[in-house]
Amino acid sequence: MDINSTYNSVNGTASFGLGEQDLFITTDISDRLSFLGESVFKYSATSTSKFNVSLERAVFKYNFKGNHNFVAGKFHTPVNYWNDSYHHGRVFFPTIGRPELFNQKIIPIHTTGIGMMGENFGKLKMGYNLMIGNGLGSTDIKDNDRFKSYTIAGHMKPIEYLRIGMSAYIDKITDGSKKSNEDVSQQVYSVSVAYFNKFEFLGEMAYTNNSTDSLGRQSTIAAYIYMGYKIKDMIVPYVRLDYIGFGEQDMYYVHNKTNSYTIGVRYEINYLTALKFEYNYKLTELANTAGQTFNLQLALGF
Amino acid sequence: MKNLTKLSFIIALSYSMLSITLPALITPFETGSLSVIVNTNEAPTNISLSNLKSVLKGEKQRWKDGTKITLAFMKTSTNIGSEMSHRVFDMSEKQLNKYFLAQVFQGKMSSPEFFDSETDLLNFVKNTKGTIAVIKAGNSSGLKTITVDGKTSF
Repeated sequence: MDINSTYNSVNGTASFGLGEQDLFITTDISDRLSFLGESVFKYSATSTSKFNVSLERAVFKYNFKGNHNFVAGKFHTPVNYWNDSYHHGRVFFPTIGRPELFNQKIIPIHTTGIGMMGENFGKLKMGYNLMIGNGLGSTDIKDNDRFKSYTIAGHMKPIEYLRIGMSAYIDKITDGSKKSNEDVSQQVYSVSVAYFNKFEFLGEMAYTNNSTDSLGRQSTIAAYIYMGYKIKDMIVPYVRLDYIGFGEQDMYYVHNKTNSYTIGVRYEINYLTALKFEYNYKLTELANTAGQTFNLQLALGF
Repeated sequence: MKNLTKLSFIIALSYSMLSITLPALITPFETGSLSVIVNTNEAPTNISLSNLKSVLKGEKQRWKDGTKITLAFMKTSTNIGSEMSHRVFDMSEKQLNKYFLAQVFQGKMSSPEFFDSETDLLNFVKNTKGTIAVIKAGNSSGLKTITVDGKTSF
């Protein structure tokens, strides 16, 4: 769970707040079958109790040979490093919040479906994810159309602490267009480079094509770079730069061109507790003014 | 023993003290202080330190005969666990705990079994086929020891 405090320069307010409470369970059902569940409790203005519960992951995994596994259930779509590694575990996040490409829903976050995954093959420690799911616009219990989403991801860890990954996500979103009733064909291509040792680096870029019959293909680019340096195994000063640029005639995303700059420090009290303090400067197209915030977060695991 | 009890108490009560207190209480081991035991005939009789590290990090899910690899360790708050963190994994105690927590959270492996007492660890290994464990050298209790880079202890 996480507890936050924020000061916002635009409205001049300072606030305390609860973040997400993330419940996580795993169990080995048999020698080859296991289950992982992740549920999140968080504030919701529209709920009568002012809190919502969401099932973030419910994954059955069957290890059929060596490091190869069948998986079924609801997953965080393995389209990039952050989404597939940190999930809702704020104590693992290198910064207080997720990168902007999550906030603006550039990449698909969840997939309900089936797939295969494996890793640590060969000297390069290669890995893969293959997934077929309900796709965007669907619910957790059924698909909203006859199209499925397809995710193909691969990665390798050629040296210790380094992971290089790439992925492709293909979907057809019915009634996906914001400005007409056209279907949107979407392809999301993502690359990531992660290196976490004394020096920490994480860079990811998502290149998205949204195509409609009337306007053809429109491309959007979203990227971020995180860098940190560990001092005495406990204190990590860091920076993160985020950028999102939209295709001019894209009809799927809410256009909000964003440049965001974050500088902060993370104090890892122990492996279950992290205290982070950040300054963020963000310029967005819709806000039309630069916003500055100071954020403090205590993230706990237990 | 008193030191270990004191250490557990500190860990339970104070997260913030952990990383400051731990290094001062742990007695450094000499080279040759650790051994690797297994409860399977499928493990190699000799393994390189880098391959051992890979197996112990959960990068391999099964032995050659298909038996699931189960990991058993002394807690990193014990002398042996601390020594193992630094010597086998090249990580601090905190880094190793966080590594395993992250791997389990990502759904990439089952959680290793951690023990306060070596007797409990040895009993677990005896009763669980496919287990590999790191122990204090010379305490194998008749369980199969595998050599690391040709040495029975390292």
